[in-house]
Amino acid sequence: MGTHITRKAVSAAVATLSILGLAGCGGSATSGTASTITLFDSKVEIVDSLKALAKEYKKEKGVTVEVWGTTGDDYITQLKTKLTNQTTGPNIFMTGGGQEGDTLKSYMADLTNAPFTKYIAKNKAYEVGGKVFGMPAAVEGYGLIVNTGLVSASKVSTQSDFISMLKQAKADGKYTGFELSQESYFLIGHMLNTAFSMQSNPKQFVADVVSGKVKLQNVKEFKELGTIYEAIRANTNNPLQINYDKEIGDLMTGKTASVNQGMWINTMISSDYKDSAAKLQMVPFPLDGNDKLAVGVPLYWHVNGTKSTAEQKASIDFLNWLVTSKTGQDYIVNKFQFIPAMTNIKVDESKMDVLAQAVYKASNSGDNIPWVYQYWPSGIADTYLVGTAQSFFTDKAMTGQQLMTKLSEDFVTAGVKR
Amino acid sequence: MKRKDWYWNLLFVGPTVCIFSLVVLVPFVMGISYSFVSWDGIAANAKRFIGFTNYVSAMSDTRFIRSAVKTFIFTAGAVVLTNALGLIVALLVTSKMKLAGVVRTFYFMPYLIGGLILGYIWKFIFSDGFAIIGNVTGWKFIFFNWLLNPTFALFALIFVSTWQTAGYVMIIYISGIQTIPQDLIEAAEVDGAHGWKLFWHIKFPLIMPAFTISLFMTLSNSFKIFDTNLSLTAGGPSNATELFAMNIYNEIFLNGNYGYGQAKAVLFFIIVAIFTLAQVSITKKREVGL
Repeated sequence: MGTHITRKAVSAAVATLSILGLAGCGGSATSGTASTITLFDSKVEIVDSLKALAKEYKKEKGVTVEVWGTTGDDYITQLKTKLTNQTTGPNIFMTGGGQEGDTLKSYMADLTNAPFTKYIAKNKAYEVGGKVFGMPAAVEGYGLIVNTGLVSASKVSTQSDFISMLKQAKADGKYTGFELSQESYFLIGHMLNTAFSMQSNPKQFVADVVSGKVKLQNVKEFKELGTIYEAIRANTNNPLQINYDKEIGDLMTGKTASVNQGMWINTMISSDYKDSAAKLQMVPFPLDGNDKLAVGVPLYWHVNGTKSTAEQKASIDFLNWLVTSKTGQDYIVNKFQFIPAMTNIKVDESKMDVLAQAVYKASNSGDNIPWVYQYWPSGIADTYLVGTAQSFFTDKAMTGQQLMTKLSEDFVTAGVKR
Repeated sequence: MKRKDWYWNLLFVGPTVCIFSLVVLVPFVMGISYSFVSWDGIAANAKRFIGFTNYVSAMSDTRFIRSAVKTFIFTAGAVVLTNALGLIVALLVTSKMKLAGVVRTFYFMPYLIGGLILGYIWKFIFSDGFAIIGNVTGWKFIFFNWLLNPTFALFALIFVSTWQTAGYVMIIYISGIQTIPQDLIEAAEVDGAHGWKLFWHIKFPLIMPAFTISLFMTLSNSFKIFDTNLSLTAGGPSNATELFAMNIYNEIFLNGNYGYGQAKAVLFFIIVAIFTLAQVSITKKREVGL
């Protein structure tokens, strides 16, 4: 008798559990628009504001947006894992476009006919084959950031001026003229990008370097970059000893006159160096007569196209609300502190810091050079270029020309798809 | 076997077998099958069967071979140092030394800190700490930033790994030493064995089982090291400390060559299996029973 009851209880429990499980799977509505969507955010800095924004959206539209944060610099790895499993994949995700976007294109919904697409600034959408698959989240830019209290911007407007400034600073010994830091993009990526983006057709140029048709060491801009790297090694602190925090610290405390950095350093400045007397100005990096800042879209919003139509519609609705509603625009401009890449969002220039202003101007006037590294073979900056740059800074016998030769070989090796 | 026993066996072994197959066997077999395709690791993208091409490319991949050589150097260094140090300290704390308990605890402690965090701690010591010591003492030939020198960066990795695991193998050796019956030691002493002779002819053969375990553990762990490698050197400078596991990680997750990375991982598995099995069979033969 006793066992009988137990068995019944067990089967009842099993039945209940399986019904619950089934109900859980069928949670989303099949028609109209879904009541809950998920968003996987890659930018740690904005995750709290995004969560607050999701609450506002719930209040206004009644749709729950679940915001997932990331832990750090492995967003893409996490995203790939999540997307692979259909149930855990987010409805809205972000990529950097370019190579990174192309590998995940199979998961992106076509946004060509989405209501917000018409507002995307010229050439700023993520497009594949003439169709829009990503909405730009923001515009960012970088260049030579100069502490004008130490060196006036006019003293670094040409390459030869820049190099003689480095030598002069070393001779004076009060501060260094320039600093790089050890992280892959700050050590080599951004500098190399400047030379790439000065080519007439950068995307084709990358393809030619990868195929081995063009060798970097034979291209004028890269030869000059080699010269600059030699000057940096000879006249400034060893960048392998310096990390990003120290680089910005040195800039703000007057230990270095300039760095090759972007408007993103303002996050650190406004929290750690509020009282610094350093007067900053962002000017084009003077490589071989370059007179433009490098401006690009670091992140795009994408809608997961493998989800149900109802969820896709809800995702598009949210993105539309984000860039067209008053609340959404206010968050983008004031809370995220993005420079929007949408023509319908008005920005009050006077509220921006000087670095963002410079980028905003360059972005609006179109007088800028693009970010090309999005088209480089995936992972190359971290697995190849940084190692080669480290050799250059540890092996004093290596010339700038040899650095370019080695970097060119890296592009060929890393470009092999296996 | 009786039917009833069968049920009992299933009850106890079943869950373990289930979990083992799900998290070890199935991924292992899948991993092998992925090594024959060209694929970027994205489920929605096409896999192309290419036979043994990945294995052939791995054989001629100079960077992979170089990382293999570095891994062997690292493993040799780490295994010898870890076991030597672990054994010496185990002998010290089992002799009637004062403060034996304190030494044992302190020596074991690094093992409780994760390899990732240890790497960051030592990164700071090697780069900033060493610079300060070098400036103060003037011994710049040894106190410079080890992590910027390709050879010394590998030494640094061996050093940190030894520092972390020596305490753990010490515990294994201590338990090995404590299983030696006291009367045996006394008998040997009566027969005139002291010091080195006592250790080499009596204690050493009797702690051979502890050797088997410790060597196996340090050997396979050193081959597979990743966390300390990532946080201490991240493979730098100039990829001089990119060991096996990191090379595979970079290939798969950064360069997006999933199939190729899997082929490397299979080769890696075969190498580790050969070495650890050989070691176990050799040391097993040398174990003596009482």
